[in-house]
Amino acid sequence: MLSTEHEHPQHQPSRLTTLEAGVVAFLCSEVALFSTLITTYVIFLGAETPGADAANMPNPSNSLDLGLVIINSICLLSSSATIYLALKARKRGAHVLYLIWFAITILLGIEFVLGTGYEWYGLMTEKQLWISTNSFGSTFYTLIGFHAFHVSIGILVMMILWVVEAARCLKAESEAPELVSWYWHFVDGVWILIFTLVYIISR
Amino acid sequence: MPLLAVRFRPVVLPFFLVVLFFGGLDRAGARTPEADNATPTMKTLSDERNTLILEPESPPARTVAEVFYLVLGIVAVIFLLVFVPLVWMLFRFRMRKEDEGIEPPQIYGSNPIELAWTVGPAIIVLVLFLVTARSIFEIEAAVPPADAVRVRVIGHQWWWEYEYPEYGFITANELHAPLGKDGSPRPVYVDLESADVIHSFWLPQLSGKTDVIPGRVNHLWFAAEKPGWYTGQCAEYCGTQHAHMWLRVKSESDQDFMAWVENEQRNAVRDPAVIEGHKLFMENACANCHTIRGTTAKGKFAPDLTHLMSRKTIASGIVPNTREYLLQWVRDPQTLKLGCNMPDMKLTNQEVKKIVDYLVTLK
Amino acid sequence: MATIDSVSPSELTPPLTTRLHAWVASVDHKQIGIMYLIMSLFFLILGGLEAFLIRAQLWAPNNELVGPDTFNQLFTMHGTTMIFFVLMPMLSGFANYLVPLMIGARDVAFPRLNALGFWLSFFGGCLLYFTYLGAQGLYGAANAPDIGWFAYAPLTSPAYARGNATDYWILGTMLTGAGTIAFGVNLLATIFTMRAPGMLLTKMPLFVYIFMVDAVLIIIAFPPLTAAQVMLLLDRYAGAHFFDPQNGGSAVLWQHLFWFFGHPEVYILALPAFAITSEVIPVFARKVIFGYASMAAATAAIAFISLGVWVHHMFTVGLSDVVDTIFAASTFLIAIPTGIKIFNWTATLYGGRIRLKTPMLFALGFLSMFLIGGLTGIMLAVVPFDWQVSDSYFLIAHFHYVLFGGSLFSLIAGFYYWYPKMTGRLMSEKIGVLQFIFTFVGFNLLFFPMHISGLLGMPRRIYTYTEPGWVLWNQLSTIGAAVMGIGFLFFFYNLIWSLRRGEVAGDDPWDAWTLEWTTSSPPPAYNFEKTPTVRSRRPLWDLKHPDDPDWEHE
Repeated sequence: MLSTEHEHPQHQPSRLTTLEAGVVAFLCSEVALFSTLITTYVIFLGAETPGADAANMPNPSNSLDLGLVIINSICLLSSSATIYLALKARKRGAHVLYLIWFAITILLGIEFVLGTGYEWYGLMTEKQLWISTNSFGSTFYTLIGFHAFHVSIGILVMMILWVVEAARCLKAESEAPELVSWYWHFVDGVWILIFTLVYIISR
Repeated sequence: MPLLAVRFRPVVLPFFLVVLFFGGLDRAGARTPEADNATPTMKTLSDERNTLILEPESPPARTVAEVFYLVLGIVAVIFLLVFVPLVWMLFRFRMRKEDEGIEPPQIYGSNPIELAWTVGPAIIVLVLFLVTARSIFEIEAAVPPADAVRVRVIGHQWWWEYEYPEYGFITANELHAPLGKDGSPRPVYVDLESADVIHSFWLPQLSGKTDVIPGRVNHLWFAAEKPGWYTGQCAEYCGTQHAHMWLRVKSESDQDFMAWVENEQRNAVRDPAVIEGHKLFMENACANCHTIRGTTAKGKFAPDLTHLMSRKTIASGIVPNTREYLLQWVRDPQTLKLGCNMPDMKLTNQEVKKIVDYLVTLK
Repeated sequence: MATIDSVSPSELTPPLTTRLHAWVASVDHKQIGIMYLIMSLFFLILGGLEAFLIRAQLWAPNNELVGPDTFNQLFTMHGTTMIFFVLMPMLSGFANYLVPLMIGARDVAFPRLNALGFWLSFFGGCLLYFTYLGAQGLYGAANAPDIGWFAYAPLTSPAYARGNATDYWILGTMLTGAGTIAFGVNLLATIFTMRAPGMLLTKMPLFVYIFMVDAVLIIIAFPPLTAAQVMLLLDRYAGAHFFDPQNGGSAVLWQHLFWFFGHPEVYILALPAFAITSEVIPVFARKVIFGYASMAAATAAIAFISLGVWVHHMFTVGLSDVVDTIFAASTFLIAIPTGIKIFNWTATLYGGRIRLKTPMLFALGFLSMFLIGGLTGIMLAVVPFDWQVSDSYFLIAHFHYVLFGGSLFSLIAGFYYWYPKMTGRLMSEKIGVLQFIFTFVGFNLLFFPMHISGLLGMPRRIYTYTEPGWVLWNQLSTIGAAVMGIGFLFFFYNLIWSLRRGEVAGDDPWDAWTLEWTTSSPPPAYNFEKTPTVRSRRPLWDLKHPDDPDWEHE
């Protein structure tokens, strides 16, 4: 976590380490990215396709089911808790417990991605909602898709880190697990926003 | 030769290059006699006005021209206030031999001065903003009077479609606007739509431009103060022939306007002498794109040709509407407007002649 | 038996392939900086040739040098090249080279990310230029994109932009955008955490401070462009309808998204010019910058406000009067901090001892040209005037005055100023002055007449014209382009000639005051043997004037 001042023999003290500053800057750029996608989604809410019968077109109310998405969300959000527990274990030196919590985090993340894929499959085959159907389809798949893509990258990075940690090749004071957890919490935070907007407010 | 002396070469050689460059350019621009017929010429008609925004002939353009002079004056004063002292300082404070190695007094800043040149510009900018806000509303908040003419403008790649809903006809490329019954300006309210990509409707002497955007209806108004032709061009890049999507507005007396309207409202002239050309037109794919009211040609993709000969230009304003140019256009439009959507129909010279014989009857 | 004495120097030099590989694999910020600069000069030649052809075509009415198809590709490529592949890498090059030196660091925060960012940027440019060889467009094979540098929808939809030339535009600029975001992240981490002891954020050279603000703008402004480009790709290939009005999409949305990026982008390009000027003018006037605190505050204000003016590129779109008025207000507002900066630079000259060396000539050129460009910008903020001259040659004049007369002039000043540091040799003053004269005269001859042709009603992006009233201004512009072209020939000649024949520079040829001048020219790979400790914004001034150090006045 953040210490008040990082001492470095060669540098003016700063609140963040170099890696932390880099990750924060990167996450700011991600905020800009997701803000754009969310704004675009909001702009197209309620937009109708000219010449089409609005009642027959898929929209949030008639195509989105909460059931599966709630399960996915519970998994993703609890993975934030499990990664927190993992890092606490790591700090204590409880290496095996750390690896276990970390593995559970990864599995929960995988569930989210697979669950999203399954939800999409249902939307396409049963509700006939494709990216090309209407503006809801375009914005829905793009927004959720970008997020799922970020989750997938996070899972990939976590898997690599898990293998490196399992082989005990990482120093105890390495900042990498902490920073990966920051990214993961960010991705989860974005999901809370997206979920609320897409599955609750727009329906 | 002194000019080729080494110390002059860096300056002399470049000038030779410049001369060669322009000699080459002139070659590029050279027009052979044949080319003169092939490409659009300058200023197709002598009674056209120019497109200088500072010679407004309509209230919205006039508002802009007035504001322009005010803003230009302010901006010129600011420029001089900064530039003249700057140049003076370059002389006054230039490094002299005796100053080498001696640093001047270091001035780190001055709060009062900073305040002054924050507040000063803020006031200027506030004034400009108020002028701007007022002129926006002066132009935009105008309410269409009852006798305003309404025209629906649809921009296409690379021509303009004009519909007069009150009179019930569609024409293309030349918009007619009436003056009031007593010769005073009469407002024309234009609804702007696009059939394909974004274009922009710009007649500098009549008003500022407004973009023509698919999926959206924009509005613009003008009231020409004098009779005659006003010209402009599409002002938003829209593809290959964006440069040749010209706007032509004829401002005319009320009688002339109504005469034109009545003619436009009629169906196309049927002249039995040109029946062969008529048949060729309908059998070749012409009828798929063009409309000639009163015939089976009902295409919507291309300009309405019902009263083609009432127009003084063709190809969206770029060449005069003469028999020679019509022959060239029908033979191969790509020679006049490369990349335009009308293909070379691969007609024989006989066919072309017959079709043009037909077209020139469409008064 | 070979001993050290019997081996000749040429045998000790590694083979060319090894030396080139060292550059390609380099993660040293100085080498990466130089590679960025070389990349920018390479694309400057290409973009300049495109501009030349444009001006040649517009020399005479109804000219037939190039047809509409080629012309439309030329202006698209010219704009895209100059912004993404000349100005951006040039500023990245200077920042990369100088920021670690100026803050007393050994390298940037993430050297390998730095290298990745460069190669992404370079590859993006290669991808874009591949189109001249192999992309498909409206006119068959080997079509560069012809959609304009801001690629308005629906001209970019599959119906109107057939083939894949447009996609190369999207991918090329997207890749370079990713590289730029990486650069921005790197720069922020470097500046926030790797400053020398004693260098508080308020004690940094203005160059570093301004680049910090620039990096913040980069990480906020580039992602929306990436998002918009992905949406455009989805429209083109997955059947999405973001910008497709016939299916519920919005052409205006592309404009909003693009300009939300596009306007901050021009400030991203302008801020480095401010940064360089803020170093050059004080050194060549022998005075500290007037009002550091206001300059810093004004920079932050400009960056902040620049995120809220984008609709001034869309005044002719027919948005509501209230929206137009609000964005006119924010555009006027940004004039205030910009004016403050111009006044402060001018005030720095007052009471100084001005040396008119080439870096200073170009810095003064920047000051006057940016002043003109900024003032025409104020004129354009008067919305009804914009309704007349937006998308006309008046607008082309405005943005070339700020981006070329502004940014590029200042970057050229940067070349002359820091070339000795990077290479150990000064550039030729004689050729520099010649270059300045040709470039300055040529630039004004090229772009000033465009104000007039714009007022005369000449729209932009037209491959030919017939108005007799426009001919003179177009010809003046073309002559100006030729004169300026000669100026650039001098520039390239100077860069190459000085490498071997320039006067040896020493550590501190300009008697300057920031940390980079304490190192050798060029600096060693590790920059500083011992990390310096600083107490003020001009550490070298303090060393050279122990009786009157800066920190007593700051």
